[in-house]
Amino acid sequence: MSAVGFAILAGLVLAGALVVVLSENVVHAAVALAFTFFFIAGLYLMLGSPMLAVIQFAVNAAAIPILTIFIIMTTQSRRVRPASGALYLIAVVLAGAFLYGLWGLLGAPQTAFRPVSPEGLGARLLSVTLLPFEVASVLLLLAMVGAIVLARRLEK
Amino acid sequence: MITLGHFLALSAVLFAIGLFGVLTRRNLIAVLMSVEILLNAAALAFASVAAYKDPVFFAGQLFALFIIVVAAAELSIGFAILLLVFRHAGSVATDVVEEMRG
Amino acid sequence: MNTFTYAPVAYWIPLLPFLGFLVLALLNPLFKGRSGGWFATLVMALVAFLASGVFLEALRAAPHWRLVGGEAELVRPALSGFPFRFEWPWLQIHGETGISLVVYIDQMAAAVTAMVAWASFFIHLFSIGYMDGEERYPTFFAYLELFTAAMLAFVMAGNFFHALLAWEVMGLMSYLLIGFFFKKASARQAMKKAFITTKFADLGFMLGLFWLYKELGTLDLVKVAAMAGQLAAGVALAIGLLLFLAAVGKSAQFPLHVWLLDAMEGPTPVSAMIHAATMVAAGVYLMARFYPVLEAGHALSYLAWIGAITALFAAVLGAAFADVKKILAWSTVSQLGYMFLGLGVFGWAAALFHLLAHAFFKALLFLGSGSMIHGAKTQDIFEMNRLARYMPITYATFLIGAAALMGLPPFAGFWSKDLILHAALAHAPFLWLLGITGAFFTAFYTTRMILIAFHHPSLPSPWKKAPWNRGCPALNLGPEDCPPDPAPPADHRPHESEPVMTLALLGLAAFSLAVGLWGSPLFGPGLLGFLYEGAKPELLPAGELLGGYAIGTGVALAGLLLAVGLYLKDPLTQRLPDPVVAALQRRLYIDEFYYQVVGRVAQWPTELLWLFDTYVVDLFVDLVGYLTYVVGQALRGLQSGRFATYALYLVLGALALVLGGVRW
Repeated sequence: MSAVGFAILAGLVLAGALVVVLSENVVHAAVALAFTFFFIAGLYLMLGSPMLAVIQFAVNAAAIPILTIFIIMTTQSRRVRPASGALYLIAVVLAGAFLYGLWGLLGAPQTAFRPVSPEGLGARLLSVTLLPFEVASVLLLLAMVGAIVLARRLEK
Repeated sequence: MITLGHFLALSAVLFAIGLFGVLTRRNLIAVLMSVEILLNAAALAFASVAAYKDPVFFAGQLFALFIIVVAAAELSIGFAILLLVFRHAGSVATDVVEEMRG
Repeated sequence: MNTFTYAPVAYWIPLLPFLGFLVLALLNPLFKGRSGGWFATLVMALVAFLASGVFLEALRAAPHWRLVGGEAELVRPALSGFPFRFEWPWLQIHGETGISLVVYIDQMAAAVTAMVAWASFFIHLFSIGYMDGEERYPTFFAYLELFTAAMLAFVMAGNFFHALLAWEVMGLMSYLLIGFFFKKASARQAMKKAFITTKFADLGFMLGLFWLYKELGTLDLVKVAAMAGQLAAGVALAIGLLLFLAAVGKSAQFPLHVWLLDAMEGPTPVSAMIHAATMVAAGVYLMARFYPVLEAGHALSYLAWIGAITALFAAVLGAAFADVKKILAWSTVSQLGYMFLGLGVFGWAAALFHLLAHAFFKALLFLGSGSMIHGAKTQDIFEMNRLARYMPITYATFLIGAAALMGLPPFAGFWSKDLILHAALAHAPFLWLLGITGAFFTAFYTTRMILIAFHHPSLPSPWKKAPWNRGCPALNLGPEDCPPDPAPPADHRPHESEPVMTLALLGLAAFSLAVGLWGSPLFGPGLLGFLYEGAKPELLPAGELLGGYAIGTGVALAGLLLAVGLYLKDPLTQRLPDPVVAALQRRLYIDEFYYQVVGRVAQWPTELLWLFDTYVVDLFVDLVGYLTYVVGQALRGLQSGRFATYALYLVLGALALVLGGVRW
């Protein structure tokens, strides 16, 4: 695995995430979201899981941003007013505290890994995790129906 | 060498950024986007642990898959509710709706 | 097989009236017309039946004479399972015995239980007719049932704590029943007066029990009786006197007699039941149960003195009143005094005999007065119009009761009262003198009452408008709150009461005759032998007592003749000057003393306590409320209604989990 490649991808991911959370223009944020997720898919590839990378790209880096932009257009939302300085400070402190909390876990000096083939992933998916798989599909169905029911306009 | 630690560090920082976004953003859509970042950071962590430490079952990667699925479902419902709020309050700023005060 | 087979039903005897109370209380609106009364009376009939069964069974342990080797000997058959004891453990404290409810039936309990059951039955029967038309008819019977349950539980108590519980319930029911007509101010005052006076006396009961438990470690009847000798004489005296205080209160002895007179504000059947036959006798019964402790502490002389003084004092005052119920109330106080005198001079069995006899004939007299009041529409004997002519059954039964009260042979009072006086003469001649004088006055006031009420036509009552009778000074009420009762029209013709009521009168008359005869020496050891273990002075054959009986009868006849001489021709005769009459009718100003002096003295500690309650106790309570409010208001602020706040809370929570779970 290339250290340089990792560094570049990681940097791009973080840069994109920062744009998402700091941008004053919500459309810019949505695009940056797509951007970020795209490079996370890249990271999945680096981890040797092409299947996961493709799914990440298709769902998170494409469908979700498109949905987001639809919503932005429907609600005519453009600008995001910045929050107060105090809030930024609090948020930074809390995020920092969180990182501090997790830092101890980041030791693990493992190096070797094995790529996972799509066939392998698929086989596992439909055998070991068959029930969650089925439940997930029902969940998606529910979400679809629920979203339609919630958002429809009722006749007055 | 890129160790698991690097990936997990990246995941942690990404999660922290997402947290920052959830707390800070004044637009509900932006908040939902930050939540997406949170979820993806978690998925990344699971996937990397699976790759480095679980060569036999790579359960973490399956889990990352499910995270993606659930995130998508949650986001769609979230946007539906957001539309309802928009119709009720006329805006998607986080501070327009405070009727449940006290 | 000589066993006490009624044992298992024994605890149903107090339980049935209690269940009757529950039914009448909870299903009150369903009882229309007289159905409540009939229901209650049927329950009481069942109870009387069971109580009779228990009593007759217990009788098999009664002694009888038997010829053994040419000499008459007293034999007591053995009855297994008797005395009967049933224990229900109620409060258990780790290993220690704790407190139980105990049903204990020995000879005394069997006899008194039967008396209470039958008296209660007849009074219930009478009340069906007497209370008819009353708005709260079923409630009345509910109260009567609960009272009966409590009294039976008290009599059958085998454990002094159990007795205390029943005692207090009786006090409560007395309060409720005295104040049954609570719309009258005088009834309200009277109910409070009764409750507070007896409650003050109950302090003695509780303190006595606490001390007794501390000394002996048990409150069980049998064990206390056995261990009484272990108490130091001073301690036994103190405990005995504390419990005697309770008896003085409950049985309305001097100086706590004040409440019984005003208890006449309650309906007449209540006066008959509670304030003649049963509850007031509970004090005597308690003393009888505590006899071993009283003996150990040499407290008996106090009982005798108080009893004798009360007997005379009340008899004298009974002659100065015009209200028939008040006269009978004084009579009750007086007769209870005789019972305490009896207990005090080693006439234990005689006192109980008098208790049983008095219960029946006093209930008879009170119900008779109820019949008179019902027919003549007044409580004043002067306003009653020749009742002998119009109410023959009432008159005849009243005469029987009166003869028993006066102590004329062969009626009940003759056998019991003279037995007490005989024992008094042997042990305390001065007290005998008080007692015999009281007997004179007893005959006097009884004859006076009968002559004026039954034989003379209706007259305006001489003292109703007298200046010393304005308002109710004994209840601390002025004339506005306590107006005199209106007189009935002068030509009002009374009518005999309905059969339900007259039947009850006849039943009580029969019982009082029966009890009297059974206790007389004519029936061998009879009642006294049944009650008493071993041979004691009162089991003497008739010959020895003849002298005493003669004197007693003579004195009674003297009182009777004096009353006849004074009142036969002119009922309005007044030989005493007004101030004396005033003092007597104001009850020697004792009640007013209590209200004015004792009440005032008790006022300032009460004020102090009130201040404490308002400014200290209430402060704490309000503080709790206020703090809750303040905290609630503060917590309200957490719910800003804003999304950002809740997101913050979420993150904080997650952070706490991470930092707490991972780091530490």
